[in-house]
Amino acid sequence: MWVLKDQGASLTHHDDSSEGAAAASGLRVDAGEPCLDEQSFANDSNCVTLNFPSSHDGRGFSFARRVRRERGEGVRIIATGNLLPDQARMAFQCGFSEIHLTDALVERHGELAWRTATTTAPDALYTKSGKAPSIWDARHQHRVKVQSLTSVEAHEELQKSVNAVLLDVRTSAEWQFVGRPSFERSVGIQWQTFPYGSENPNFVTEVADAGLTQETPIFLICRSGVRSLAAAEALKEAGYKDLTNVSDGFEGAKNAAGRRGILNGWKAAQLPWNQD
Amino acid sequence: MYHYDHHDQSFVEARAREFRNQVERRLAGQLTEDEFKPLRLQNGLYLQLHAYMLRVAIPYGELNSQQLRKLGYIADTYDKGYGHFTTRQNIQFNWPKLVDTPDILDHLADVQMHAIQTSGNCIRNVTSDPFAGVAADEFIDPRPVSELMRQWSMLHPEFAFLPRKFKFAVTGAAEDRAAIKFHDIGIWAKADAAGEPVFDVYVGGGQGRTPRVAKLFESAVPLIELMPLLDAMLRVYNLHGRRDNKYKARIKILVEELGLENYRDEVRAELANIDRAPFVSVEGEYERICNAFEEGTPEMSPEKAIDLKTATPAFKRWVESNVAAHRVQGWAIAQISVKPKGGIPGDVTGAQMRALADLADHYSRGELRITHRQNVVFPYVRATDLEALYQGLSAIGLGEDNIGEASDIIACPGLDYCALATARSIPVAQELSTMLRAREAADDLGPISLNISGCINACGHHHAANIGILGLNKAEKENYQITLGGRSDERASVGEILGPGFAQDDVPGAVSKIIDTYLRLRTGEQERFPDTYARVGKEPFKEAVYVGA
Repeated sequence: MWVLKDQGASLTHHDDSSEGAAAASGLRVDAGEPCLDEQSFANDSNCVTLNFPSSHDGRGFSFARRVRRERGEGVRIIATGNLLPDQARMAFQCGFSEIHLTDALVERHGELAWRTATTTAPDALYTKSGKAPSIWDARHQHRVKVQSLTSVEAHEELQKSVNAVLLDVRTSAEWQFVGRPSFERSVGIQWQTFPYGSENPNFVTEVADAGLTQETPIFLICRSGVRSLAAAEALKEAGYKDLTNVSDGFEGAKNAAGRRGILNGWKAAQLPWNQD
Repeated sequence: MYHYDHHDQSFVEARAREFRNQVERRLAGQLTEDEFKPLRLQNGLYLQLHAYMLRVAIPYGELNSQQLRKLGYIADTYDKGYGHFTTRQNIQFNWPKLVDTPDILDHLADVQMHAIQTSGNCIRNVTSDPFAGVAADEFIDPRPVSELMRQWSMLHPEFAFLPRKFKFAVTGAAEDRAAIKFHDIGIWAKADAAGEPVFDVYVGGGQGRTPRVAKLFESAVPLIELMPLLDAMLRVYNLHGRRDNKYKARIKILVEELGLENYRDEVRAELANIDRAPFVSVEGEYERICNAFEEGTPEMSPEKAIDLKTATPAFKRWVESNVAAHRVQGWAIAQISVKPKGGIPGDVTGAQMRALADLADHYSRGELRITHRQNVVFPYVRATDLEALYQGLSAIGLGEDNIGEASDIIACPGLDYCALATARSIPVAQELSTMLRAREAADDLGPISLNISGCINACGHHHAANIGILGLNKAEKENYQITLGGRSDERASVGEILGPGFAQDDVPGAVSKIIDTYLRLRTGEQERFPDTYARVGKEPFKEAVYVGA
């Protein structure tokens, strides 16, 4: 007999007596038997074997799902009987840990068909099933992280990129009186509005109106990296995926004397800037 | 409309490669025909009377012009120059060679299409309202949840070998144009007080030899609960559905034998323990799909309505029968009849497909739908473009003005193609169409549904028709049984057998007498056929057909 194990698709030949004996010690059920759930859930052996009477009968797949759920990862769930190589994927994704094959079955389909049984099918499914990667999770479980770079690093990245945009979220007064970074793909949209400092309720809409899509790499800058981080979080919520916060901002942190523009920041780093 | 991302694209490509491998193993003799059968069926490939038949999925009936052109190419390259729209909004090719089918699947993958699970004992193509997204009476666009279900069901490892096939239909409008109550599970999407989608779930409907109208399983299920519920409903069915007799294997029989309450209890017990990990991303995914539909749907602003006062009589008639109300003023839903007088219901040539694709580009923003009544819908037509569209359709033989009329016949392929059929459907449909078109030209018969199946499996939906025709084989002769009073809308009911069957030649005469009886007994033009039938019962029709001259 042969044993096909899990997604790695290891196919090994075994002496009938050894493997067969191990499996025989556990519970054996046929897909057609009544009450198979109750028997297998109550059974204290760590091995449950389910026989597929024919490759057309898919009851065993739902059965394995339940046994795996009730008995956890510790139990061996073995499929025997008439399965096709094309069903090995389904068996493993439903919770079977191994498939026991007769010599005749391996000979007819060929060793190759069994060895490649789980790799010829699409490797990812939409919903999570066993160890198969889930497309839905791949689409949604990655958390977008806002990257953090200093103004010098950010400037370097901006020079290299062909489509990255520098988004200045300070107030109009700051643009006018303190100056603004010189970079050709710059956009100014206020996170807080002058003169009262209230939050700009239309921030996300204005970003979209400026032509920035969810895929556009966006570098956000403010005075010292605080407002721009909040703005980046808001864009992340709105589905923007490629976000970088300029951590020291345009003027940087205060020095010992309480003055900005000396310690760090875009200006102090002597990066190009201009004033109206 | 929905467009594939790289995940969807690599999925269908991988599936096409897998099928190529299966065909090679079959040709090499490693797979027996018995083993190969469920594998090929799950890629839409049937072995019919004369040849293989390939059924291509058109999920919820939605198609773009590029895809239709590709279908036209397949018809011309691998078939005899035509294709056949089916009652599950799919398209069938009747003459492909087995060795060519992997190439056809590759061509389909190139335009974001596939044939996955269009057959076999698995979850089939999800069908929906052909007016989805544009209907004036819509609560919730049913396409996003249909797409969600398409993805969930694709290669679902647990439900690929169910006791029998499993069909879903989804609607989201006041009028049910998707016949949800004749499906294994029917879903009716509605909006809750906050405008969020909730779903009424019906179970156990179906046709075949035991026609049943689905029963309400649960109402107002929120989205986050819907997918686990469907998983639980299918799991209970997979474990307990009958496998000893394929005619008693559909979920309608399980629900009937267990009783709805017991089935519901089993499902709820399963649901209480179900693994929810597979569904953690469902809300995000639903939202992503909604956005994908919205992004693909251009803004429509109200426009000028059409003025029919100066229209030609032919165009006016076409508008009255083929155009439906759009949710935006000044726009129209144009239904294109694939039921020309004396023609084969649902058959279109490769050339017609290309011409339709061009017309869709000009007049419907490149989008079209296939209906379960085997017709085509253009969902985005400016009212002021209707006349030009009508001219264009007439030029390619698709200008028939009979949508919803008796000559708008549903027919299965029948004994001309199908290995299961007991009688021919197509010639009967053609004769009836010729007779009915003549009568419709003389009289306003009102909307009547007439459906023909060539065997008890009821692919032609005869049970759900106002006038249903079922082809049987009696003593080596084709014999046609007539049922009356069925309907597939929100007031779904199964038709009743009128009496003894008819020879093929006598069918048009009998149908004509049935229509005469309806015209004589209806209270006015407003009373529809099934309403008249419900009011007066079977007897006057029986009298007219079997006794009257």
